[in-house]
Amino acid sequence: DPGSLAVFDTAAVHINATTKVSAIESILQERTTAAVQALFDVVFALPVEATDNNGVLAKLPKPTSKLPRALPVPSSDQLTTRWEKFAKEKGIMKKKKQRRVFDEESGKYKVRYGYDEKKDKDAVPEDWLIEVKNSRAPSKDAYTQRNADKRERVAKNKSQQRRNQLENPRSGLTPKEARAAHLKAQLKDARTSTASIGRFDKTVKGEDQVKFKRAKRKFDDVTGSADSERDKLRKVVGGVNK
Amino acid sequence: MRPLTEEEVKTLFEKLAKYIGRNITHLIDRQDDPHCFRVHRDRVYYVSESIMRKATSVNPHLMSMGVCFGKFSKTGKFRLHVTCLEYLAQYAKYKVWVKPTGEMPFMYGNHILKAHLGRITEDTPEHQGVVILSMSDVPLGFGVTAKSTQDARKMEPTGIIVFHQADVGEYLRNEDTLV
Repeated sequence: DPGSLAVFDTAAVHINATTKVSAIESILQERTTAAVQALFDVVFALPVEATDNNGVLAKLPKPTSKLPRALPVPSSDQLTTRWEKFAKEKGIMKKKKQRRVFDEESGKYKVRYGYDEKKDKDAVPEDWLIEVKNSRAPSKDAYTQRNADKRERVAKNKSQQRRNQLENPRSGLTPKEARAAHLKAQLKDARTSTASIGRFDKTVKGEDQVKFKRAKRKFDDVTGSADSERDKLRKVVGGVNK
Repeated sequence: MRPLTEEEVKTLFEKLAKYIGRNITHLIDRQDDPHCFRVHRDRVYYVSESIMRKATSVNPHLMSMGVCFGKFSKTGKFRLHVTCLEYLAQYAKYKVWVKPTGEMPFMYGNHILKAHLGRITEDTPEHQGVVILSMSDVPLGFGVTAKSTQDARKMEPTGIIVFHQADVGEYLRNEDTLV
């Protein structure tokens, strides 16, 4: 495979218990030299281009052998929301919009949205008129309806986000954010794993001291039932005088 | 102001039982005017229920109500004050009577010596909480016996028979801190 400068010799090497170590060495030596020679022959037979700085270079073809994975297989844990799982299934890709777009009128590249944007700000807006879709007259005017629809969609999106958060706590976070959150949680655990729950430890610059929340003590009512209180007292007296 | 927790009640009654034993029930079940225990700023007050209810509306700072029996330390130990002497003297099991010559030393905060001893209840064990009275049955304070009744008979006159814990003179000496 000259594309990846690799040569594969798949013929079997016959070694049994009787062959000596030196014999094994010589066999392997022969095989490797043959293979490398073959690779060199192929590479030097490739088309050539001359460059100024680096001399004469061979143009390598595209690699044909598949390299094994460098990183482990991504687990489905990476898909944290329902949409992500659906998109993976259907093969829907994320398309990033470019910031710059070509403007035919001025013949320049303008920005999609912002300071030097493609849109003409002085022209009449596109939504100066909104056609009514159905023949029967709607109860609201189209602009109010549009705003109401938007609010509905936003609320729906919010509730879906909350649902996603319940289903998977790591949803909504980028991998970097997830790692940062995990690290923060580990740090908190480490800081409170002392005898005094991190209360009297020296603080590092940039960190604030561990918050100590004492368990709230619960007392009976001040003017609660006097009889039940007296019963409690009598019970304790019984225990004391035993 | 709040009622006592179970542990606090236990601590309080264990202390009281050293002096009045089973008569604590007389404190809890009173025929005339039902009283209750309340804690206010670490001090335990024995107060009539109607007055306690009125005291809930004292604003801003309630000083004291009823009788202050004592106070809880920061670590939860209870210390009896002389202010509860009236109730201790009423219900005490073991009493020590002190001669007129021994009244003044005791009221200045000294322990009671054998020479000052007038009478002592029979069968008082060692390290028992006792109430100290003058020969005219006026309560002077309370303390803890150093020796039992039998051992006290054999002691020399300068020996201590009752350790001082609280006396009536504290009303003058600790005027500021006593509630």
